[in-house]
Formats: sequence, structure tokens, C-alpha cells
Amino acid sequence: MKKKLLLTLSVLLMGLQLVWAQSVSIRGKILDEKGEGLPGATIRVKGTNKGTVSDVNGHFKLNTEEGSALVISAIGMKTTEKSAQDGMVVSMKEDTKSLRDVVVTALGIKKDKRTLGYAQTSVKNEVITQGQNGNAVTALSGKVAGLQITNASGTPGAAAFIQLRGINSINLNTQPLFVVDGVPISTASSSFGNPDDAQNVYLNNISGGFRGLDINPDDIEDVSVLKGPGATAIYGSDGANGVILITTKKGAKGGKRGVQVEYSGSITADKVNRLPELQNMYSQGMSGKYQGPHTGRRESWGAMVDTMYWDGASDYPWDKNGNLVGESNPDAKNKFVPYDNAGQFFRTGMTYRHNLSISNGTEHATYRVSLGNLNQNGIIPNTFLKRNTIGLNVDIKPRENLMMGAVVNYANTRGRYSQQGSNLAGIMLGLMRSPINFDNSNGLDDPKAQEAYLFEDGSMRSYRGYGIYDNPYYTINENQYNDETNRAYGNVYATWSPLSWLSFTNRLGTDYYGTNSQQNFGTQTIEIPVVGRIAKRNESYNHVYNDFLINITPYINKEVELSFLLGQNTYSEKYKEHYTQGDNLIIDRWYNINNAQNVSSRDISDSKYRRLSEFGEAKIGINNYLFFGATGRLEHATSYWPNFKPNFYYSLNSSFIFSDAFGISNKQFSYGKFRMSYATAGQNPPVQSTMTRFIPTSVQDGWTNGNGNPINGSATMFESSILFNDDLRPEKTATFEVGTELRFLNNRLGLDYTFYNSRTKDLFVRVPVPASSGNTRLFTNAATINNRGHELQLTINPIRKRDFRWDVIVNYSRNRSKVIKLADGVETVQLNGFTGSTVNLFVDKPYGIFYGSSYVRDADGNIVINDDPTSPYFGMPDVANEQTDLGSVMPDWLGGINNIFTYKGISLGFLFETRQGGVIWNGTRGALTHFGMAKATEGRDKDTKVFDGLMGHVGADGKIYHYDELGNEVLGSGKVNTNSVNLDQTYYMSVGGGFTINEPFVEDASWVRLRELSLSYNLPSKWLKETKFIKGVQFGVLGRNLLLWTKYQGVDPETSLVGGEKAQGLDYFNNPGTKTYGINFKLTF
Amino acid sequence: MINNKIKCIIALIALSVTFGSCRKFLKQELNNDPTALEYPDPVVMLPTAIANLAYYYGGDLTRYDALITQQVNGGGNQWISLENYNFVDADFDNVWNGLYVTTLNNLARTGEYCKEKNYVHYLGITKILSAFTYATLVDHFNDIPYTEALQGIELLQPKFDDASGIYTSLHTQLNEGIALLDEVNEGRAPSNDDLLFGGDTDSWKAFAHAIKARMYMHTKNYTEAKAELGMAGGIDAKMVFTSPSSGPMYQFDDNRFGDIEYMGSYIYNEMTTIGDSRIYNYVDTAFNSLGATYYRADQPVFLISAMEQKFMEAEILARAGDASAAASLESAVAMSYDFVNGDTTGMAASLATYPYNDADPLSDRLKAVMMQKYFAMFLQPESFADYRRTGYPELTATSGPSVPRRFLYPTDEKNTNPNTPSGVTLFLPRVFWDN
Repeated sequence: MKKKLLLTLSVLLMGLQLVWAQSVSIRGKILDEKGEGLPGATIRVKGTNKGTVSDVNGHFKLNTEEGSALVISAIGMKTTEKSAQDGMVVSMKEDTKSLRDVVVTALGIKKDKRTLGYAQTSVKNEVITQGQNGNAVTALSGKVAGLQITNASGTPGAAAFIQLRGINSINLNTQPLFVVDGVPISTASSSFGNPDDAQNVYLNNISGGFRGLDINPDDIEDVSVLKGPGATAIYGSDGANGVILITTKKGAKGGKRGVQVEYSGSITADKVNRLPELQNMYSQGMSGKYQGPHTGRRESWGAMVDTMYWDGASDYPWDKNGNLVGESNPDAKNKFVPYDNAGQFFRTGMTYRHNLSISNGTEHATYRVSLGNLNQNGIIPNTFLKRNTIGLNVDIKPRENLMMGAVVNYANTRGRYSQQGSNLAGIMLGLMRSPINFDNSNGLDDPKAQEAYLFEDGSMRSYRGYGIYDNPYYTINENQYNDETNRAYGNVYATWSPLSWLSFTNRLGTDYYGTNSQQNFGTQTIEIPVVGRIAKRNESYNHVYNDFLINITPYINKEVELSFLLGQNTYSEKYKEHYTQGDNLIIDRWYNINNAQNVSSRDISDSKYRRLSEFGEAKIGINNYLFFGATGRLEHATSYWPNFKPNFYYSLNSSFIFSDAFGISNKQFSYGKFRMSYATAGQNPPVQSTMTRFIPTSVQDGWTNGNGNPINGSATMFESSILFNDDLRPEKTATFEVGTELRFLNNRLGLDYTFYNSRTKDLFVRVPVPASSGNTRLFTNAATINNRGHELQLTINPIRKRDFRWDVIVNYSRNRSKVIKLADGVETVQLNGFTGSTVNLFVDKPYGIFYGSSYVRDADGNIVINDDPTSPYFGMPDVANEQTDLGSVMPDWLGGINNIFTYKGISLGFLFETRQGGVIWNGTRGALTHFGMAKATEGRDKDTKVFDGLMGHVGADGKIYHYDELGNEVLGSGKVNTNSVNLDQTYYMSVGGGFTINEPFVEDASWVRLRELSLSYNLPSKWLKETKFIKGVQFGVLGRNLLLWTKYQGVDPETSLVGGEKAQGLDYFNNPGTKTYGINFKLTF
Repeated sequence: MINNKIKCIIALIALSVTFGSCRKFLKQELNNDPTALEYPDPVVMLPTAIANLAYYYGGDLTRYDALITQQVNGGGNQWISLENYNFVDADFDNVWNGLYVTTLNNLARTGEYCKEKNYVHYLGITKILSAFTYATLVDHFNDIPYTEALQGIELLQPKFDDASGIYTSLHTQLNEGIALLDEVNEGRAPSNDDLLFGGDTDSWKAFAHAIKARMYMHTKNYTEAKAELGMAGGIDAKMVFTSPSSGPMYQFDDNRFGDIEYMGSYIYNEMTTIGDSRIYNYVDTAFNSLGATYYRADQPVFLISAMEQKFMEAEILARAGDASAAASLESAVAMSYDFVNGDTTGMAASLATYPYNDADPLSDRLKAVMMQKYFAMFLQPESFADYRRTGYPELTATSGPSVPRRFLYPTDEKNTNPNTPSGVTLFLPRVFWDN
């Protein structure tokens, strides 16, 4: 038996010889410089591989002979030698050469940062919670080089677009993997897509439902961002988009008073930070004639209001002030004052947060329990987000060589989110288009007042007569969307270290959530083709995740460190989604499915996915300045069935501390490291995509709503129009990265730079195939995308005095993406958008091109100005029939500067963040220009313009011609345009408006903002001594997005119509962003 | 120490057991999709194919054909330019994809499955429906993929077959369909899932004959056509969408109100001039929208109507100089009045405007029949075929010298199938029977 074990282990340990000896038990304690117990220190008997590791309190027990030499080492500490003695206490000294910098890496394993051959950034709790942002994910924005986070809007529960180092997929996930305490969690978002999409459309136009919201930021101890496969290859098919590792707070042994209680709370107020500018001079109507709400007129090209009066009539239901008449009208009574619909609609949204935590511990056990409560009201009335969280962390140490623990997180998140986008019930669509002569609120302050949006007979009161565009008050009261999620995630783990150089860890984790959503549509909305609708969706998700790890750290000698990790991961995931729709409400305003005449129900999704992986890592350190690491992972995943095959991912990395190696560190130059890595990671094909199946379908022709399943009592199913096949490979990313970490002036100036080049191959594409073959798309591996970029982080400590300290963290990143290949014969792939205004991918261009209508240009790039004197558009630019590339929607670079000043108990922090480059399509302004509501249309009676360009037109053959003096058509463009045209209704409703052209409405998306500002004060501890039980009191003020500089002429340009999806850069009546003011308070007992 | 070693061994054994159970843990069934069907069961496939065909035939196809035959005008959005024949390739993607992918492909898959299972009646029905769909495609696009079509990943770029050859094959296909319906069905048989005829095999056979009659009319084979009409026996092949579903033109008028207009079209002007009261049930003059007969959620979509067959009969008789032609014409017009107005009041006046006299030359007799057929076949795609076959009504092009004679090959097909014929316009080459 023993021989067999030895043989097995010998293989595992690559032939290292093992020694087992008889001896006595030595107990001792390891202390750090502050005299506190130091966990994780390695105590070895010199010249053997016998040893142990100190526990959380620094205690250790080792069987050896008294007086034998012990080598004691710990990360960031100077290694010392002591002779073994029972009851020994060893004080460790910090190794100033290597700053003590222990970071969390893949699989939750803590490593000394100096040994890492890849980029990694840590963000501590204080920095995450600096702005009291209740969303743990968006709270990272601007704090990590290379991490792009775009809040879809400022409304409660809004989704976020999260990206590390560029997008590298077309049809699969592009978000980084979020891992909490070693176990991945879902950060899916149910807000996606263009609401014009057919399936489940009425749930899709909601800005909200982001599962990253379930994390309470106050429970986070630290976030470690692993930016690319170099760091994440060991996650294999989960690692391609980078990994964000969240470590929650653990309990600690209490002080003399034992249990530690901490309360923190904040009150913040959200306000709209920016809205599109509207004209304030012209009424509803056309061609200068006023046409009131009763006419249903959509546009605001009516009469100028400076000479208009209300007649005071009480029988005009659209306005309490009566009809609008000219001043010469004998009924004219009160001077007309324009209504400010937008100003009146949005409210101050208050958010209240409370967090309470209790922690304590003994030598053998620690715990932390936390309760979190968030109650947010949106800037849009009747919208809210409420979240209650419970966190529990327990660690116990039943025996010297056994650690066990559990992390349990529970969240209940519910919200009422708002409609947005191209949706007749969208808030901004109805609100921004409202003319200045119509008061959506009907003079009422209460946003719930029915008299604002309903006439006495129950029909809708809106500026277009009776609906068409829903009155925003109708939407917030009658077209409500509510959802509620119950979620539990966490893990139990045990680490057993039978031998000093061998430990086994098993961690079993899970993430479960169930979401119930309900979308109501009132009987008056024409967003839907029926008389009222209730749409309900039930989602359930869960996974079980088990890691089994064997850690082997054989001792060779002082110069060479070796470590091996062998592991096995078991993963099983289930997802179900059920949708029920009830149409035609019997009783008005009773929003329950029992009130629907026609109920239909569908299983949208029912999927299972399992994966088994074996993985390993080997690391070798030489003289503590040269390190090599390698990882490998072999995976078997069920989504390949019936063509089941394994996949392998690997990484190689190296770190070289040249400052130590060459002994060149001094006061000016403290530390220098060079690192490089090459790695592969991937993404498996989605479940259920190897076989073409027959699915429930609706019958429609592209013009109408069509008919859903069932029809005439018969179930309707068709073969999927996408053809699937079972010859699939993973999307595979290979990344090379190289970087350096330098520290100067006694570590007061630090620089961390990375260059990476990453290529993802075999991206899944729905390749178009001829309809006559039976399907329209073939789902297959086809595309290749390249991303390369730079990341730079500077840490500067200009002032380090006893009472006063100033820290600056600067980060900068730029990513250049390029689509190398889409599929044979495929030039472009559309990500999303509206007909004629889309976000596409093109070969040889960056990821995400806004593709829309532009001006006609001649071969030299001159804009062609209409030269047909009989045309109403004479002298105006011609609009091209075909869509063109109007710019990349991805930023050129991102940056952040975080300043933290501390003076005694006062701490001041402010974070500036910027995004530079990239375009955004301001579809909102385009539409508002067409409708005569945009600010630019205020000059309609006086503005003229001579458009730059050459006279000409597009001939019948598609070529550019101009007319000569005799009126003959001559090939090519003609003279320089000198004709002045009026910028009036004719212009704005044609080539000057957003329904005809996109080009002038594609804007620079750059911005700079004061993302976070916080000022806090800690009461001096001497004041608190008197109280005996209060340990700390902190209070402060804070703000988010207080300042915003941008040229964008719309809402906050940090916006996304599609939430967390890939088609960024679309703004079509997106809900606005917010700025936030608040106070916070913290009390520690 | 020994103790620890034993534990190490146990841990390693546990690990190897985990590895060993991998096969069961990763079983193939996990990748199945319980929300979808893995085989094309005709009970769910047939109703969808019928509803889809009816929705395209009575929707997209009807609108384009009605625009070309000047039963409607462009009122808004792209319809204004379509009215002036500014059709581009992409305008035909919808109808092509809708008929190939959602109708023909699914009929093909269902047919294969029914053949394998020996559901002979279902198989016969898929053959007849697919023949109707192919014939409709040929009538609009001329050469199309047929022999190599619908083979999925096995053949992603099917060739385009000669249109007249396809017509020949379709006659064979229809004969096969009829023969299958004559067989004794031992497997499952259609019933309520057959949204056209409720599983009545005789009706299906009659429908097959009516399709053949229409095709023979196109190819000017009037003797055969007459024989087929006799066997069709005046079958009404129509689909009625019942609540909460609704018909395609009703939905279009509702969802796309204003995109197409009805007043001022050729048919509107003609019928109002002669005082034919049916026009006021076709068109709602208050809103310039669909009138009462069509603006109904349950508006029927006729694939081939009894009335159309009666008109075919009248035309055949007229062409033969048969004295019973006038009576056939009169009963065809009466069928139209009954359907549109509910009675035949005013019918005589309408007939008198285009009188049918046995003594008149053929062209006048033909005109009398075809003008009445044109009035009666409001919003039915066959009017476009009639116009091309007979030259009636005598339309003036809304733009340029001539009225379109065919559809363009759609963008998607062109971009993905190199076999797509090039050089096709709205006028040339004409559909093979159009000469």
C-alpha cells in the first residue's frame, strides 16, 4: 500500500523524493511587524520538505525534533531561520524589496503579485464604495485600466455593458466572467435587443433586469480583475472575456470587546443630468398652421406661439386653459405660456441604503453576517428598485490541518422599470415629441393622477388625440413592468493539509435565481395590436460548480521554489424560461392574467449544460526573481453533442524581477518587473445548437404583426430558419501579452503597463444561405476578430506625511479591434438596429460600425448638392440610397484619475473618468428634428445656409451628373454650390431630418465626467474612548456624475439602447442618465 | 502519518471515481431542446404551412400584384415609390423567403416524414400545397430552384430550373397528390389541423384539379383546363383566420394604415364611373382604406375560389364561341356580388357596361369576361396573371412605358446563390407563358 502511494505521488510530484520522520510536536506563533498573527507563513524543517503553514491567527504546529533549524517564509516577508522550540514566537520583517502584495488570482488562489506573468488589477472595498453606488458592477467604472462599463441609462435597474479588452464574439457572451469567492455567478441581463424584434418583444424594451444588481457592494472586500487569457486560461471556455474575481468580506477575530458591529447608510438623490434640447417657440401643426391635440397631428411645425392666447374654454378636454387662438381672435383671453413637459415629468429619485454587519471569531472559527437594504426611486415616477441582501461568511478550523467554511448570499431584488426606445409606449418617445402647447400632466402634480392621461370615457388623453404615442403618464401608470428575483449563491469549502507540502481543497458552489416578470399594457395603448395585454415571464437559473484542487509545493532548496496544482471542475447549469401572454382585457385597468380573454403560453427556453474539466498548473520560481508558470485545461462539454469532443486550453507565462536580479534597486528606482504570457481560452457553442429543430412560430410577412401560435386552434410549428450542424468548434482566443511594473522613489511612483494582442478565431456566425435551400442562415464557426491594445496604470503618492497623504491612481487604456474575417462571401453582419440605421461588422474594420444613410459624395469626396431647380430640395445635399460606414461605436481610449486626500480623519476622493472617440447615433435628435421639436428647428423662419459641396445629382444609372447652363446632363459633379436655402420645415422633414438621413445625427460620443466625489470625516478615536462601545464614526457627503463635459447633443452619452448587448452606440429615445448627491454615515461598535 | 497517507489514497480514489462517472454525467440527452420538436409532425406542420401560405398569398403577394394591376395606390412610406415601379431586389426578399423557407421547406420536411411513416393522405396534401406554391412562384419569378431546392446543408446552392419544365413537373406532382389521396390511408390522417378542408380528401383532389386548371389557362391549354375545371367542381379553397388571429390585408390596413390607398386607383375609378356598388364594399371612402368586405379580421384568403373557376369557364366558353359563355359569366358575376354585397342588386347594370354578345369579335367577348373578372377578383394575385395573359384591363403604366411583367430575384438569394440568373428586370425576361 505504501509503495503504491509513494509511486502515485512520485508521479504527481515529478519524481521528487519524500521523507517521513518521527518527531515531537512543536507549537509556535508567527507575528507580522505590527505584532499581529500572520496567517499563511510557511514553516519548514531546513533541508527537508517537512513543514506546515500558519493558521489565520499565525499559530502553527509541527512535528520535528526540538532544536532543528526551521526556515520561515511568507509572501512579502523576509525569510528567516530559527531553531525549533515549543512555544516559540517568531516576528517577521517586511521585505522592503518586494512590497507585500498578495492578490487573488484564478480559482481564488492568492499569489504574490511579483510572481504573475500577466496583468491583474485589484480594487479595494474603499474604492468600490467611494461613490456609494448601489450597483457593484458599475461602481468599478473608471477604476480599472481596460475595463469599459457603460450604464444603459440612469433609471433604476438599468443594464450595463461590461467589456475587457474589446469584444471578441458576435453571437456569444462578451461580458467577463464574474466569480464570487471562487464560484462564477450569472450577470445576465434581460434587457436586450431592438424592441422591433418579434420574439417576446414586449419584455425586451425594458431598461432593466440586470443580474449583477444582486451583489451588495458593501459585502465586497476586494475585486481582482484578470484581464485576459494570460490570467484566465485555467478557466478554459469561461475565460475568453477575462474574469472579475470578487472576494466578500470575512469575519475576523474580534478585539477585546469581542463582537464587532458595523452600520453604514446613505441617502442619495438622483436628478436627470442631461436631456435633448427642445425648441420652445412653435406649436403643434404643419406649415405654420396650428393644429391642436384633437387633430392628432404628430409634428410641431405649427404657428409661432408669441402671438397665441388661450381662450379659457372649459369644454376642450385636452387643455384646462382651453383652445389656443391667435391674438386677434375675440375669444383670446390668457397669454399662452409654453409647457415644459420634460422639466415637469422627471422627479428627484431618492435612494436609501442601509447595511449592517456583525462579525467575530475565535482561533477556531470566524463569522460575518451582513444585512443590506437598498430602496431606490427612479427619476421616472413610479419606477423603483428594492434590494434586500443577506450575507453569511463562516470559517472554521476544527483541526490544525483542516479549514472549512461557507459563504451564503441571498438577495431579493425587485423593481419597476421603465419603457424606452422605439416603442410607442416609450417614455422618452412620447415625452420628447410632445409639443409645447400640450401638457402631458394636465396641470396635475401627482404623477398617478388619472386625469392627466385618461379622459372621462376611459380613452387616452395624449397630444395626438387619443394615444398613438402613449402619454408618458399613461405608460408609468398603465404600461408597467415589474419583476422580482430571489437569488442565492455561495459555496462551502474545505482545505485539508495532511502534509506541509500537500493540501486538498474542495469547493462546492451554486448560483440559483428565479425571476418573475410581468409587463402590463393598458387597453388604450396602440403599442400592441390588442386591447390590453398581460405578459408574464418566469425564469429560473441555477448552476452547481465544484472545484477539487490538489496543491503540491515540494521543497527543493532556498533558491528554487516549485508548486503544482491539479484540479478537476464539475459544472452543471440549467435554465428555464416560461412566457404567458394574456390579450384583450375584459375589465379596464385590472392587470391580472385572469382578466385576459385570450391566454397563450410558451416554454421559451429549457436548457441544460454540463462540463467536466481537468486542469493543472506548474510554477517555478528561481531566486525569487524569475518565475515561470504554465497552465492547461482539458474540457468536455455537452453542448457539442452529438459530435462530442474534448478541447484543450493552455497558458505559459513568465515574470522577471530585474531590479532584484541585477541588484539595481535604489532610492530612485525601487522595483522593476518584466512579464509576458501567451495563452488560449475560449467559448463553447451555445446549448442546443447542433441540430435543426421544429419550433413554435408565428406567421407574419414583415409588414404586419402577424399571427402567433396557435392559429385557428392548431399549434403552429416550423423548422427553424437557422440551419444548425454538429460540426462545431469552440470560439478560441489566443492572446500574447507583455508588460512591465516599475516603482520609483521608494514606491511612491508606480507604473504598470501592458501591451496585448489577441486573436479570436472560429467565431460563430449565422451565415446567410439561399432561401431556396430551405433555410436562411447557417450557424457555424466562421469569423476572426483581432484586438490589440495598451493598458497603463500609474499610482502616485505625491504627499506622504504623518497626517496628510495624497494618492493618485491614473489609468489609461486603448483597444484597437479589427474584424479579420466574417464568413466566406459575407461582407457584413448586422448586430442590431433599425431598418437603415444599424450597427454592423465589416471585414477589415473595427468591431461595431454605425451603418446608416449619408450624403451623396462624388469621387473626390465632395458632397453633391441637388442642382435640379425644379426640385423642392434644390440647393440641399443629396442623400445616398445605400447605407455607409459612419464610424466606429467603440471608444478610442478610456481613462480615469482617482485622487484621494487624507488629512487626519478627513478623506477627500474624486474620480474623473473619460471616454474618448467613437460615435453615437443620436436618433432622438434626428426624429425630433423631423418633428420640429429639436432646438435647431427654432430658426425655421430665418435660418439659411449655403451647403458646402458641388452641384449635381444622381442619374438614373446611379452615377453622378450635373446640369450645364443649357440644362443638359453632364457626367460628374459641377460647380461649387452658392445657392442659399431656407432651413425650414421642407428641409428638416426631408434631407435635414433624421428619418431621411443619419449622417448629421452621428455624433462624437466622447465625454469627461466627474464620476465620483466623496468627502468623509472620521471622528477622532480619542473622542470615542469615553463612550466605551463606539469604535468609529464616519460621515460624509458624496456625488456622482456631478460634472459632465461632452459635445453630444442628447442625453448623457453614456447610454445604450440595447443594454449590455453588443450593438453599442444607438440612442433612440433612450432614457436619460443621472447625477447624484448624497450623504453617508458609518458607525462601528 | 499512516493515517494521513490512507486519507490521501482515499482522496485520490475519490477523484478517479469522479473521472470515471464522466460518461453518464455528460450524457447526450442534455443537449436536447425540450421546447422544440425533433421531427416534423404533420399535425403541427400542416396548419402552419397552410396559414403561412395564405398569409403571404393574401398579403405581400396580393399587395404587389394589386399595386401593379392598379387596384391600390401607394399612400405612404416606400409604397409611393413602389407605385412608380421603383422596385428593388430587396423588395422581394420577404415573399421569396416566406414561400421557400416557411412554406415549401416545411412542406418538404413534412412530406419526407409522412412518406417514411406512410401517412399517404398527409403526403398527398403536402404535394398539392407545394405545387400550388411553386406554381405561384413560377408565375411571378419564372425560372426558380425546384429539382435541387430545399435540401439544406446537403446542397446549399440549388440551381434554377426552366420554368416550363417546372410546370410540367408540377402537373405530375399534382397527379401524384391526387393518386395518394385515392389510396387507403392506414396511418394518421388530417382532420382539424387541415385549416383548408378539415381533412376532406375529395376537396383536396378538387383543389388539385383547380390548380391544374389555372396552370392550363396560363399555358393556353383550354381543353385541358376545361376538363380540370369539371373535376374541380367549383371548390372554394380559402383560409379564414379566426380570432384572435386575423387576415393579412386586415392587419396591413390596421398596422400600416395609410401606406397603401384605394381611392383613385384604376379599379376605383372604373367601378365608381360605371356605378358598380361593390367598390364601396372594397373601399371605405371615408378613410381611403379597406371597405367592409375586406376590413374584417376574418376576411377569407382565397387560394382559388369557385368564382374564379366560373370565370375560367366563361373565358374558355367565350374563346370557343360557345353560346353558354354569357350564362357562365353572369353566374360568375352573381357569385361576386353575393360575396361582396350579399345580394345581386345592381349586377345587371355592371354587366351592361361591358356587354357580352355572342356576335361580337373574340377580343370584345374576352374583354367583357376579363373586365368582370378583374372587378370580381379584387385583391387576388391571379389578376396579375390574367392581365398578362389577356391584356385586360388595359392599364396605363404609372411610370415609364410599360407595366411590370414579373418580379425581380431577391437580394438575399442573389447574394448567396451564384446560380441566380442575372440581367432580370421588371419587364424581361417574361414568365414563360406570358407572350
